[in-house]
Amino acid sequence: MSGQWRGLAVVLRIGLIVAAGIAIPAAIVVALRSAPAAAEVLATWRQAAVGNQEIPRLTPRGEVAEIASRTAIAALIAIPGAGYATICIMFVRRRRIAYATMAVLQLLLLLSVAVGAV
Amino acid sequence: MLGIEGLAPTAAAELYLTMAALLVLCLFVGMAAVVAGVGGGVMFVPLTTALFAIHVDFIRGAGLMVALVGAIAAAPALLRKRLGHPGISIPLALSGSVGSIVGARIGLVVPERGILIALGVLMIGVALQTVVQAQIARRRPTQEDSTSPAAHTVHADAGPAPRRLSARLAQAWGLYGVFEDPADGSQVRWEARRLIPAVVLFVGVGAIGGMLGVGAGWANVPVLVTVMGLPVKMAAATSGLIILANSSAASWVYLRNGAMDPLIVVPAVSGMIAGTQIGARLLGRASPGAVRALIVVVLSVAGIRTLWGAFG
Repeated sequence: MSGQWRGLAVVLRIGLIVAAGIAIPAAIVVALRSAPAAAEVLATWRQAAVGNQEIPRLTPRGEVAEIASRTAIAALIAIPGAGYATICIMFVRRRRIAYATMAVLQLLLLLSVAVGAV
Repeated sequence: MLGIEGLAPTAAAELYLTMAALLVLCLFVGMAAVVAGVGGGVMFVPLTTALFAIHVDFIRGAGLMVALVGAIAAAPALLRKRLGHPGISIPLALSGSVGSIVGARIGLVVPERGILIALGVLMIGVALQTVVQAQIARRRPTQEDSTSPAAHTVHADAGPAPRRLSARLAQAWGLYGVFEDPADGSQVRWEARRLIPAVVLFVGVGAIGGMLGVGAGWANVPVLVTVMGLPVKMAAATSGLIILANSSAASWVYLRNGAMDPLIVVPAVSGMIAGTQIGARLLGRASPGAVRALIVVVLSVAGIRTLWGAFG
């Protein structure tokens, strides 16, 4: 692998391992803790997500495990953003302004959609 | 301690059974995807929609995660083997991400029936595409697109003309070179053609992917090959890098709208990762033709069933 892409590959691999390492055990705990409310969970799955006030956002089914599993999923989704931050740094250092600009735009787009601005 | 006591046994059993079935389905989908060279996400969303009593919003959210995690897992190897071209992926991912955000927003407000019709059409379309690709691959000599003189001249003749904006951009951004196939060491000279039309097309491809919750490799690769003139293996790998950005952008929309449930996402993604690992080991032993035929049948049946359900 050429040196310039090594950083990107490392970021992607570490991000995946860390996020999956948190998400899987956290989801198992959430599943076990959700057992008493299983009927409610199943009913939630049968309804549309948008406009459904019953849909849990961050913590309704529980505590730390619920937050951890959702945060880990958000972290998984954020991994490409971290990859683009790496690309930005890489291209700025190599003075490839066109690529650096596009990578910055991509990063801004991902950040905007992540915070709900677009 | 973990809340097992006092649970309603049937509902809990159904919940666990659903999660286990998702894991098993994704295991097989992941295996079949690797062996047959078909995207996992494009099989996951329609099959889960057809087989499970889960609203298509949650399935599309999980489908994007399946595509995203698959792309993240594959990217380091694609970069290490220099199969994917990150320089090509950056402008296309940018336009594709815009499209995928728009598509995801549209997809979450379109009535379920509309999504089911689109999914049914997509399934049948992908089944047909799989058949056509298999026919083309059978007819094409193995080395045709890598070592024949014709392959070299095709790209040279059709390469960037000096005055066209697409060609000038491709030259300025270094979107040309020699692709070396790690499988047999053969080399193909390539130049990215029609960059601007491709950027525009990727807005549409991203929109479809975001709307239906699929990675859209089935559309990325034909655009990269037929519009931009990239070698097939390079196009497939570059498509993986584009899916990274597009799926991430659309996933945020689904996450923010409550359509990402860890109890659906985690079994689906875990099964898919395990399945692709097993599939990679089976590559030499399983018959790609037989698996492809099975996928065509399953996708066609699921597509007809989905359309039947949407119109019924």
